Amino acid sequence: MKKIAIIGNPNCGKTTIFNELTGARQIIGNWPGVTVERKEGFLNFENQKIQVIDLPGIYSLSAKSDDEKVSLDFILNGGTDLFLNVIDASNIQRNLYLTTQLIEMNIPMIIVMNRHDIAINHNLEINTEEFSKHLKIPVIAINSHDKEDVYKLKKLISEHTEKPDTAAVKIDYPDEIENIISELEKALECGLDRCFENKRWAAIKLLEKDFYALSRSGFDQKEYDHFQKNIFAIEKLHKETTDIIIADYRFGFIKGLYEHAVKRKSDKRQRTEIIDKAALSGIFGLPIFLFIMYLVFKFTIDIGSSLISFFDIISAAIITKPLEMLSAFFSFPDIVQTILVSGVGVGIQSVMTFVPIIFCMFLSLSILEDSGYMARAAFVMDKFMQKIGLPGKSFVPMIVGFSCSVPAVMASRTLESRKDRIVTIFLIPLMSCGARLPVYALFAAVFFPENAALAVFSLYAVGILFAVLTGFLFKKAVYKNEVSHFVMELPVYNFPRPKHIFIHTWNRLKVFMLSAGKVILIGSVILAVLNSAGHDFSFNKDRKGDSLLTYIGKKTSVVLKPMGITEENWPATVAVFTGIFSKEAVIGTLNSLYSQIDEAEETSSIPEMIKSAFASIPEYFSQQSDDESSALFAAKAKFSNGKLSVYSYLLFILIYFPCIATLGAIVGEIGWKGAALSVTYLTMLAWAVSSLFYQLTAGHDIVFITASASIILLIITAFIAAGKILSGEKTNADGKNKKLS
Amino acid sequence: MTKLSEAQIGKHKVVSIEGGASVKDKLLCQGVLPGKEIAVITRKNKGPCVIEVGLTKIIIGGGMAEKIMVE
Repeated sequence: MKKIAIIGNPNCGKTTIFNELTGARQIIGNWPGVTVERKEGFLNFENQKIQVIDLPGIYSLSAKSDDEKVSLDFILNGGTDLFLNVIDASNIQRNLYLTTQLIEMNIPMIIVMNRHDIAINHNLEINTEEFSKHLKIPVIAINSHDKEDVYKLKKLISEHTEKPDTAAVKIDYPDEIENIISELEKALECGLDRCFENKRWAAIKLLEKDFYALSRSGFDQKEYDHFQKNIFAIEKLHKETTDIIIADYRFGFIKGLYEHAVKRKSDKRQRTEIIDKAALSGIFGLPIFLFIMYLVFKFTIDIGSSLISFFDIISAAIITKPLEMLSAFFSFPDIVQTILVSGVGVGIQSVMTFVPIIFCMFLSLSILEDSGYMARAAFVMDKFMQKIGLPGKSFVPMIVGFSCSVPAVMASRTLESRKDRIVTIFLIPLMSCGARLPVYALFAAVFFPENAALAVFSLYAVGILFAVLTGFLFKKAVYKNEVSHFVMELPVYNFPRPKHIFIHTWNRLKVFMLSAGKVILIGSVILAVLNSAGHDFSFNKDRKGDSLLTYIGKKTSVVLKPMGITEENWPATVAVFTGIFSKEAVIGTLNSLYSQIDEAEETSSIPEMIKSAFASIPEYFSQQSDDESSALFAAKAKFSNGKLSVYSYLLFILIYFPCIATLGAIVGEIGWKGAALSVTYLTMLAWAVSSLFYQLTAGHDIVFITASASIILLIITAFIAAGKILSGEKTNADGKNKKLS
Repeated sequence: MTKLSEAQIGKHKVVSIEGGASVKDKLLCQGVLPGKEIAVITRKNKGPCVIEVGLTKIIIGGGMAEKIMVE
C-alpha cells in the first residue's frame, strides 16, 4: 500500500485536510517515546487505498522540540511515497519557510495551499502554476470545506503517489557558504542511510549547527571540528552566525518566489489597521476584551442554559425512559436495571445536558478565532498572564471556566505548548463554574443571610487566588527555566465563515461526546451501582437512604471532621460524593437526605415528556422560583459551629475533585496520568485549605493544623520534585547535544 | 541599542537575539532575524508588543521582547 504524510505549520488547517481525506475512521496513538499525538487513517479513492499519516504541526525542521524531532525522524526513516505540504494561503511567506527545508531534503511532495477562500477574501491572487513552474512540483490551492476542491486534491494525490515529483530547485547561499557545502559534500562518503545520499542537506545542517539532524546524517563531531575554522571565518566576515545567514537566504528565496507568484489586488489591511488602533490600544484594549468576553458569557448562559432542561428531558424521553420500559417489560434483575437506567441512561442524559453550553461556548470561540480577534485578546492579556508564567492566550480558557470547566479544559487546546496546556488545565477547576454558584448561593442564603453576596464573592475570589498561587508554584518550582516564549502572527481581520465555524464547533462537540462522554458514563454507572446497592451488597433499584453510597458517606465523614463536619452531619459527606457527579448535586443530595421526602416519581409518558421539554425553554426565561433551600434549613442545626464550619465546607466544595465531566475532558486533553495528578492535587489542596481555615478560626486542634500544614508543604515539595525531575531530563538531553557540539 | 521591550514606536533594525536556541528558532520561523527591518506598532509598558516584519504583523510576548536587541 502507498503511504503519504501531511506536514505543515500549526493552525494551517492540516487536520481538517486529514479528516477530509480519511473520513471518520482514524487510528489515534502516540509517537514512540514522546507524548506527541500520532494520527493515521486511510484514503479510499477509486479502488485505491492509501495510508495517510498526519504529522505534528511545526514551523521548522530543526529538531528543537519533540514535534520537530518526530517529523524529522519520520522523513529520514523513509518509506513515504508522497508528502503533502499544507500551507496557509493567507500567510504564504511564513509557511514557505518549512517548505524550503522540505525542498532541501529532496523528498517527493506536493504543496497544498489551504484556506484559499480567505486569501481571496484578502484580495490575494495566487498563481499556483507559477509556483509549480518554479518548484517543479504540483501546487494546488483549495478550500478544505469545499467538496469539489477536496475531490481535486484526492485525484492529485492518487496520480502523484504513483509517480511523485521531487522539488528540483536549489536555494542559493552566498559563495563562501556554497564553498563549504561543496567541500562537505566531498567529505561525505556514500553510505547506506537514505540521507547520506543527500549530502547537500547534511552539509546545510552542519552549518545550521543542528546536531540532532547531524547525528542522523552521516556527519559527526569530527566534521564539525574540522570545518569549525572555516565556519568561524564566514561568521567573522558576515558578522553573523551561519544558521542566521542560512535562514536569511531562505527568506530571500521565499520573497523572490512570492513576488513572482502572488499579486495583491487591493489592500484590505487598512480596515484591520483601523480596528487595531482601538483593539490593541492601551486605553481601550482591555475594556474591549472584557466586553467581548461578557458577550460570550451572556450568549452561553442565556442561550445555552435555556436549552439545558430541553436536552435533559428530551434525552430522558428518548433514551432513559425507553430503557426503563424495556427493563420493566423483560423484568431484568435489579442490578441490570440499575446499570441500564440509572447508569447508562442517566449518564447519556448528563452528557446531553452539556451539549448546549459546549456548543454555544465553542461557537463563540470559533467566531473569535476565525475573525482574527483571538490573537488580539492574547496580546491584551499577555502582560498579566506572564506573571504566572502563562501566555496571554490562556486567559480565554480560564475565563470560560467560570461558566463551565468542561469547555474550558477543551479550549486549552488552542495553546501551542504542552506546558501551557497542562498548567492551564490545572488552574481551570479553581474557577468557580456555573454549577457551583447555586451551591454557594443557597448555602449563603441560609447560613449568611446578612452577607450572602459577600460570602459568594469571597469564594470566587479564593478560587482565583488559589489559581494564581498554583500558577506561581508551577512557574517557580516546576517550569522555572521555561519562560513562555510567545510569538504569534497577528492575522488580518476576516469576516467569520459560517460553514467553517459550524464544522469546527461540531468537531469539538463530537470530541467531547466521545472522549468525555466515555468517562461520564463509567462514573455514572459506578455511582448508580453504589447508590442502589445496600451495604450487605443486596440490590434494590429503588433504594432510598440506606445505600452503599450513604454507608460510605457515614463511614468516611470522619475525613471531613477537621472542617467541623460531625458524624451526625453525614449527609454533607454523601453530598461530597454525589458532587463528583455534578456539583449542583450537592444541594439536591442534602435536600433529599435531610428532608427524607421522596422526590415525586416521574410517571409521565414519552409524548408528555417531549411536550414538557419544549415548555422548559420559555420557562427558563420566565424564571420560576426555586424552593430547594427549604430543606437546607433543616441542615442548619447540623453544622456544628455554624458559619465557620459551613464556610470551610464550601471551601472544600470549591476546590476538591472536579466533576466527572471535567475529569473526562481533562483525560481527553492530557491523558490519565495528568488527570490523576490534577485531581489528587485539587483534593489534597481542598482538604488542607478548608481544614486549616476551620482549625485556625474555630477548631484550634493542633493535630489537624499540623496535618493540613504538612499537606500543603507536601504539595509544594511535590512540585519542586517534579521541577527537579523535569530539569534533570532536560539537562540530560542538553548533555547529549553538548557532547556533539 | 535597546531591548525590544523598551523600544520606541516606529522603525528599528534587529541587532541580535539573546537567549537560547529555542527562542532564536521561534523568531527565525517568523522571519525575525538579525539585520531585518522591523516596525514596532504597539507596545505595552515593558511588555508584549506588536511588530511588523515584511507584510505580516506579529505579537511578541513580554518575556521574548526582552531578549531581542534592536537599534
